[in-house]
Amino acid sequence: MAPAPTGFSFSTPSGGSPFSFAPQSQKPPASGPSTFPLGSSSSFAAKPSAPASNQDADGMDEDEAIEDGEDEDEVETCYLQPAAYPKGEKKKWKASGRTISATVSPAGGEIASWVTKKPASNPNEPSQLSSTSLSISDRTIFFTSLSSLPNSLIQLYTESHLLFTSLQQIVAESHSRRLPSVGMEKIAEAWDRRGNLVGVESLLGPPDAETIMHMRRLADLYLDQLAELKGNQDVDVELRTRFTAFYNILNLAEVLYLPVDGKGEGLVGEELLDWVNDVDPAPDNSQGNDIMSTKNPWDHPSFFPYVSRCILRGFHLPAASFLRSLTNHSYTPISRLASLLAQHLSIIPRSTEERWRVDLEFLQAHKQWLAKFRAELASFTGGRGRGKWFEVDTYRAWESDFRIVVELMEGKPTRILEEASDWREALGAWGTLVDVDMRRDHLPEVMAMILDKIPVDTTLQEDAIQSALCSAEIIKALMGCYDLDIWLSAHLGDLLDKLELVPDDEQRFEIPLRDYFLLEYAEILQNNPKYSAFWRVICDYLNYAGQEGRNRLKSHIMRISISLDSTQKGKTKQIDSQTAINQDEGMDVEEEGESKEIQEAVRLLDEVRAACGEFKLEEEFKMISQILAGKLIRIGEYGMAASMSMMAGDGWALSRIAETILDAYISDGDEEFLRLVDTLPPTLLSEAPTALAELQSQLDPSSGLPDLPATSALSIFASRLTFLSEFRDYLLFLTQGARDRAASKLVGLLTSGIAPVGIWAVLLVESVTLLEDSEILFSSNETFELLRVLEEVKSNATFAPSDYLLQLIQYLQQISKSKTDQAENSQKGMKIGFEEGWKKLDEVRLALARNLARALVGGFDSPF
Amino acid sequence: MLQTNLLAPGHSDVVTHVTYDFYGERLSVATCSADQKIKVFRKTQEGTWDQETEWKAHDAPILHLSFSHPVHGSLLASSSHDRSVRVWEEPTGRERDGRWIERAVLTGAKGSVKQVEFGVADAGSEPRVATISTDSYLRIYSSADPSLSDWSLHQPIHIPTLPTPGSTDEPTVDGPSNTSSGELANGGWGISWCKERWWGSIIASFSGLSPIIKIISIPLDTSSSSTSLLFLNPPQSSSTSPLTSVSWAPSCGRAYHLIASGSRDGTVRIWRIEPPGEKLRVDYNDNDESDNHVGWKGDCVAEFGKGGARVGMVDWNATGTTLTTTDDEGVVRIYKPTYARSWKLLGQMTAEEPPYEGENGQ
Repeated sequence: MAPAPTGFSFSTPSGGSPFSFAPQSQKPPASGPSTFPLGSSSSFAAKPSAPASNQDADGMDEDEAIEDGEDEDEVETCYLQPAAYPKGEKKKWKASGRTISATVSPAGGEIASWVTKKPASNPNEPSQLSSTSLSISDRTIFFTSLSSLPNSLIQLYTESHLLFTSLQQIVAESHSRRLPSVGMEKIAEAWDRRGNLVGVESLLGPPDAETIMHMRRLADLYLDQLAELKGNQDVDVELRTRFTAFYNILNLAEVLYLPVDGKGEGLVGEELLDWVNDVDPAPDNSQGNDIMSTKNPWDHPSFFPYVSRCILRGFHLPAASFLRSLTNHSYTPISRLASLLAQHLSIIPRSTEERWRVDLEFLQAHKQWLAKFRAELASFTGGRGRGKWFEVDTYRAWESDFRIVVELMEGKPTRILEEASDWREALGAWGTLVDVDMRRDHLPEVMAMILDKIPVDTTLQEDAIQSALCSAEIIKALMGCYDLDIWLSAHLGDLLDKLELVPDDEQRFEIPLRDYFLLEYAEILQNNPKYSAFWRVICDYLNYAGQEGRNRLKSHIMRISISLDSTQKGKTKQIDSQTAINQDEGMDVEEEGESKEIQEAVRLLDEVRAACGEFKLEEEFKMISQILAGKLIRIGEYGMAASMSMMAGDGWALSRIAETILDAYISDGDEEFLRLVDTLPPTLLSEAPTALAELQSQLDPSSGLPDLPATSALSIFASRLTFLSEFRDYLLFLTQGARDRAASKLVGLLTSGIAPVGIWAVLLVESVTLLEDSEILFSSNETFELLRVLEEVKSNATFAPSDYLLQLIQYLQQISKSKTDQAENSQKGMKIGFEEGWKKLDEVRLALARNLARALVGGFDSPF
Repeated sequence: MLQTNLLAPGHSDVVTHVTYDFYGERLSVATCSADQKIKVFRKTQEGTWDQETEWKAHDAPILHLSFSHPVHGSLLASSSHDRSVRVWEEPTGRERDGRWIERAVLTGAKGSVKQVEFGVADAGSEPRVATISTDSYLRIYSSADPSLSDWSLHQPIHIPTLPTPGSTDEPTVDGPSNTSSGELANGGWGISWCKERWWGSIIASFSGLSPIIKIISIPLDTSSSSTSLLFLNPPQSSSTSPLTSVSWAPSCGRAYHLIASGSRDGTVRIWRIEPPGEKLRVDYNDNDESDNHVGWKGDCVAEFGKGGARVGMVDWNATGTTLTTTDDEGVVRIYKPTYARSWKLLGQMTAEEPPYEGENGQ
């Protein structure tokens, strides 16, 4: 069973009225210091999330008012530098044919704006300026940022991120722990009429006490961070004030909604009083010392007010010792009464004392104390009525001062309300003097009584928020936080939402309030120049911000720039020239700088991959990989491109890479080919033949027809890669002098069906030197196979010459070019055409015929 | 909001258009008459911009630029008064510091090409570029060829004579008589792709003196003709001034779309567009079928700035949550929706000298 919500929650389900935020919906937010003090003097400080002062527009009509002159004056204006025209010369500037244009960056919230020309009256003609000379501003592009964060905020934002995510996990775990306790039939009801799962979480009710205790611990950590920041002298003083405000609000929320015991059924008075004393320390110690150091302290004009303040703030012992100074008073009734009050004041039972095993013990003790106090007071006054406590005229006026003390001790509501300097002080005193049995549930009622006499100064945002929290007006409090600061509303909103204290307001919001605040907060992070440093933080907030957040997460993660190709810029050129000159030196230096950037990029890629995994963004990661692979292919980084394509599951890209590498053999020769193949991930090559074999094993054994379409991307890329690997083996055999093995590899390449048709002719030409080896390297059967392939090439080449011969021609060009390079003659190389190709194939036929003869006559398979 | 940086692109005439790439890390700048050049800048780690390259791209002033989605490679399209659109590809390796490689010259327009915009990508799709020129034709070109050297023109769409949504009229094939000079002088031409592909390729467009935004579905193949989905007529008693710009907000998966438009008389409108209800849901839902409207529908949810100076441009940020506008008063404005579903002016920028010496803003 979920704990009854009546425990600490004010939200008696039947009530609901505390949550209606209709009252404040029409109210403009406090016009106080709503701007975000970014500490930058060179610009206007703005907080995109905070409604500007004219934001009370509600509906279209008021929207129009936005544009009206006077409202616009209140809008924060950023003056771009260098200015285009002096103040008052706008007309002249406009008349010159100029206007301004802007464009928005898709990441980081940057806006670029520039001075441009108004369209000409004939849009098919270029616009003209009245004068052709250009000013500096005409030649400038201005960049502005929507929000910029001082370091201390960045610190808070970064550190609180971890707490935020822990909080989400803790609550999620508690849900999954409690889920089995919800009956299956209830889970079945979680499907709505439209067939959507409405979230089983909502069936569970507010978190259990254990979870709330965990949440409180995390809220403590939020508070620790704020405490550190508000006390840090290096932080801008305005910001420290803000952090203090955050601290006080969050602290109050914790006292009220995240009780130590997780249930919130206990007495709340002392905790509230502590909070009041923390927010607004009083009375002032130095004033106390001042009073006590006078000869007769009671002659000090602030003596009694000071005593009253001490009592209100729960400092009963200091108050008692002040009163005890009156025992030296010459007039006996005064000294007697003072002594009586001091004695009782110092023994007022406090709920925080450890001697109470249960609340009831304390309450009884307090009751007894009060009864005893009243009895002894009555025996002092001896039934004397008002104005008659002190019979000597000189001291008659003292009675009212004493009465105040007495009535405060008795907890007389009217007296408390009169003496308290503000609503907070009254509230703090209420739970320790008036209603010592005060529970969290009573607060709205108590607050109503207090605010009736001591209204909150609504121009003080902080006060408005705090009193709303105490009155259980959650929405009002959160809206106030939203006006104050988006970090606060996001994190407090999240906490309160987890406690199910934030009702939905479908009238005004299409998404839950918590999600709305989290999205606004994420947007602050997104719209700041350092957004790229926050990308991971943004991911988490978006991920936990409902469906809309998830959707934004998808586009957010796509726009993280991973500069695997960034190093090419300018540097490639240097490296190329340097490697050409000296391959051993020079390159190392460049590579170090480069590899560092690459390492950074790879690290970022790993993080993005991990994030995509964690947030289940497989499709997005495929797209990211695909984009990266494309970039890498373009700069010739085939190895890394192949890895990216594998991650993207992009078989087509893999076979494109394989083809590109093969092209490198044809156009640049075997050295380049081997270099490129070696950049490919070794596993890719070693696994390709197995993958291909597996695909081939799926052939239907009876018909020999493949189950899969033969041209499926998978089989193509597997066969392309297998070809690369086998072809590399062939080249290696050749360079190692293992000509017989090279020969059989060549036959294998041509007969296994893995070679793309374009390369057949090249392979046949390759075979010539092997065919004419002094040893017989091809058996007659192998030679017949090659002949068959040759015939196929020749017959097909008659109608599709470019498909079958083009690569051969490029290959021949490359060979002849390298030859002519050696011969210092560059004229000849480029003249090779199809004719040359045909001729070359005839050479192959001749070589094959010769080899066939040799193989039949003298070879190992000679029939003779 | 604060000015973070500035850049002197070093063109010999004023800049006509600036565009960011997909990641906001590159900036392409085009200029007017004198140099007809495109320059590309890259953001450094410190946030400044380094010029990567520049080249003369057209024979007349360049009007508009657009980067492609990176899945289609590093492409840039430029449109110009010379009635052409050119597609440029970033060179690789050695030619890195050189000009971008011209992959296509897209012709056919009978007037200046006012705007060019690459379509949105999903995996496996081919790059498409939409253009609109003062002849009021929307032309879409696509390239199925991986080398990007072969671009085919889809059936050109004459915006003024598009049949209204749902009507069975065939689009007028022969098109209009020439655009009148009055229309030329006061008209506007603009396009903006829908940023999601769920409903296919959809584009918003306007032309000439008409204040209507027309939303058109573009077929995948080059031979089929397009379909009008929705016409956004200005609300009753609202301004019918010709439009100057349109921008389709990234919807980030929301159930609705936002389109902003700017007008010659300064009116900025924000439209809320809802796509047809999901079919799947209809099956589960017998009772309130009225919720599941058949076609696209749109409401004007905000309108401001009537009677002001001509709006130069409207543009959304990446999440579709803030709108930036400019006008001929030389003011850049940024709007954001409030939690009360109205729109508020968040801030503005001007190139005017600050009011008092030494004091900025406030």
